[in-house]
Amino acid sequence: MYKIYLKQAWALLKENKLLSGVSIFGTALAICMIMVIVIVWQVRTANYSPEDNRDRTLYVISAGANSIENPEINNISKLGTRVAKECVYPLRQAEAVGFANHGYQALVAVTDHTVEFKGDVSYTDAGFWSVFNFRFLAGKPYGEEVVESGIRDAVVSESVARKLYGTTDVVGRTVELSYTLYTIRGVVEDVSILAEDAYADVWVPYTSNGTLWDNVCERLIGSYQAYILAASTDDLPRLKEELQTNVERMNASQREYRLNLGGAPDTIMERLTREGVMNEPDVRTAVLRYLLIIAVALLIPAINMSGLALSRMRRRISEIGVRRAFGATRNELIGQILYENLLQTLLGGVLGLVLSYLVIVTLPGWLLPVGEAGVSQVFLNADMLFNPMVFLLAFAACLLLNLLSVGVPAWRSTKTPIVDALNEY
Amino acid sequence: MIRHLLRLIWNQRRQNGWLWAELLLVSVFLWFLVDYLYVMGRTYTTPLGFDIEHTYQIGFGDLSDSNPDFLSKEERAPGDTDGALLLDLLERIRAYPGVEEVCYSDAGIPYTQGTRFINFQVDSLERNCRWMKVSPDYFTVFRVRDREGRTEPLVEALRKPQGAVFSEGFGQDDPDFNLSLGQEIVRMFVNDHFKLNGICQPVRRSEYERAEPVAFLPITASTVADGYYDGEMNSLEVCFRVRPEVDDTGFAARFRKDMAKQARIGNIYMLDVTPMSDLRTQYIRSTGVENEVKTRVAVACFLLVNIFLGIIGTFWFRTEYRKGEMGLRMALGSTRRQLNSIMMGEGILLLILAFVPSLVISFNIATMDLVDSYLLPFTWLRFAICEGITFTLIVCMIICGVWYPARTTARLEPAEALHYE
Repeated sequence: MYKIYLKQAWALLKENKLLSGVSIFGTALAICMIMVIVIVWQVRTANYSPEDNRDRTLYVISAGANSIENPEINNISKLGTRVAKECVYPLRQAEAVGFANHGYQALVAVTDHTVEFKGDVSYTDAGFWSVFNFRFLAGKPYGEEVVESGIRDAVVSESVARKLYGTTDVVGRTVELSYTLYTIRGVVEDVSILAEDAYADVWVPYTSNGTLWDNVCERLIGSYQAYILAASTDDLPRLKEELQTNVERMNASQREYRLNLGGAPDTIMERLTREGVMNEPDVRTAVLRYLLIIAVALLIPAINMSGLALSRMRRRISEIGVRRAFGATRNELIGQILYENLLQTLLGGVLGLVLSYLVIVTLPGWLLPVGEAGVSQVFLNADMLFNPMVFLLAFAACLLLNLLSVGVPAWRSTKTPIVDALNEY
Repeated sequence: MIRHLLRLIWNQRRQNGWLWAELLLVSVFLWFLVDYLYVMGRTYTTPLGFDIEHTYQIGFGDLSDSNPDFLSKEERAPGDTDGALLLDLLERIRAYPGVEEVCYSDAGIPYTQGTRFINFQVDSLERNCRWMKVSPDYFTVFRVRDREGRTEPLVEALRKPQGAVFSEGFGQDDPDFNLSLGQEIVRMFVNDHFKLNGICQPVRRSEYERAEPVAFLPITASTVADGYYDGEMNSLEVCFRVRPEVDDTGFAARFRKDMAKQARIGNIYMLDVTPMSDLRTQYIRSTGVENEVKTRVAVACFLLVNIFLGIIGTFWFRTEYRKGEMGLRMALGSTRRQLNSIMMGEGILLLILAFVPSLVISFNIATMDLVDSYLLPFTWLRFAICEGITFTLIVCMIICGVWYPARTTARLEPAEALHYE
């Protein structure tokens, strides 16, 4: 039965190539719009190496210090290491905690400077390596003792290793960062800048550079971001509370400034929707806005395409009459029409999905937050882009579009009295 | 003819009502987008006031004081400053094959994120104005020109002691004020005195911004040599221009390789050699304006395609429905061409009917200051051009949408078409 429907749908498609093409194109455009939004969201929130656990990570990206005496005075930047040590490290419920300073650029070179280039350096603590899941090609990360004593050990990305020495077998060799000598202890797979918390070309202990900004407002404010990994997503609310308690305890003994995290630590969703340091992020409104955009992107083409569907129906009104005369119920007929049209919608859906991937891959700078990347360029990989959820959503969007654009015409044309319908024949 | 078409439209008012409403809404939306793109296009194409083609910036870094190679003040002879060493280096860069001119500046290079503002008093008129410190050769490197299109007078203007160059536009808001050479300039708060020795053409920050008055003040070699920038060498911007014939994709790498050793002097080192076009890309990206343009173009395309779908759907439905009518017309002597023009005419007339109220709405949106009037003043001409573009775009979509149904109808044999009646 369904095979016949499919055959018939195919015949219909071929009968009027131009109009079929137009409606497939219309569907593709709508699906493309929606899927671009979904895929961008996916790239920004999904778990992929080395940020494998975004769904159970909490972020403290920014911090503010309020003057106790004069509430008008605010200092807004990132965390100081003191806060990380006093409030984040003691979290009992966390699986791992770490912090890092991103955004430094250094001249990366071999000792005799026959090879040198500009690279992005992140200054981290030892816990950073357990929060994120780097894939080590050689060696291992630096440990707590190294960080404590400020030893100049470094982990480099694969690209950096290859650029410096032409191989990834570089553990034990040296690298110069802005004329300061470091020893390479590990090599990791390249990290795309889209994984912005893990990203760098070279990672070194934060204690190895004494000039990093870390001592403002009674050392509350500095240049660090903190990451807290929970054992499971259920622990997130409790971890949040625990950190807030720790901050309050610290604030109680403060004399000049109090730390204000504005509701942080943030989940990945809160982090992306955060608009100010002091304001709590509004995830609900952001999600509603996204849903509204998607609804509009679905509805407008659906309304416009229903005209096309209606004229298609009119051509087949006599066929519908015959079928009804032979005993087909209206529900059966509507089902058949929807099913037949699904072929067309799915063709458009596949095309639209392919288009949306093309758009994102060819124009990543348009839709994704890619700043200036150092040696490891911006890249997208299958882990970021492909996810059963994306395909499921694309399919759901197709079904919905199908129902919206063909449902009303089908309902209307099956309402025609049998005799009238037959009369058209 | 038009009355006839109007009657046809009226008779089909239930369906046409939908289409009319859509055309009305879409005309307003599309005009809004077209207006934005028009303003951006006009802004983009006005002269920038400088030229970054074939120019590069050299970034310098400072050794940290924990570095074993770091030279402390006690270790250095008086007069041995990073600044003095840098000036020597610049001479060597100037002699590098293909290099035309070298300059240095402070918060002055094009596409810089950091800008400074302060109040200036010229002839008793005080205005807040962007300012930067540049070496005289800055004008040669970035091809900044005066009113006559020459660069040398500007270079000379800054060479004279306490000379300054202003860009046109300072005090423009005051009709009594006239910026002219020789005027006395006071930088307020710090009470620095300068003489206006040169006036250059308007300078903009980027292709998407409006020109604003800029004061170019001299940065003297002696300030640099005295060590003013030592320890903060990254705030001194060193740029150079190369001759077009030697400038290729490998130039920066070649230059860096040849100069790296020589550029490691005192406590500074060469971090990077960046084409200015890269800085431009970063700057534009940070403003997000190009992405905004892309998004609006995408939305405009989405709307246009949907109008096309709506039109083709409606008109196709209508022709299916009206085959009998068309047959009758043919039987009564209408040619195919006439049938075609009836269909087209209906579509376009419907658009006109929707467009008139949309003009009123759009105009109100414009006068409510919801469109940009900072980059380009809102004038009747701008309104007319943008509405014209909007109208043409929608008409194109209507013609595309009507064409196919009209053709199928016109191709029917009269007898067959009448059969539907």
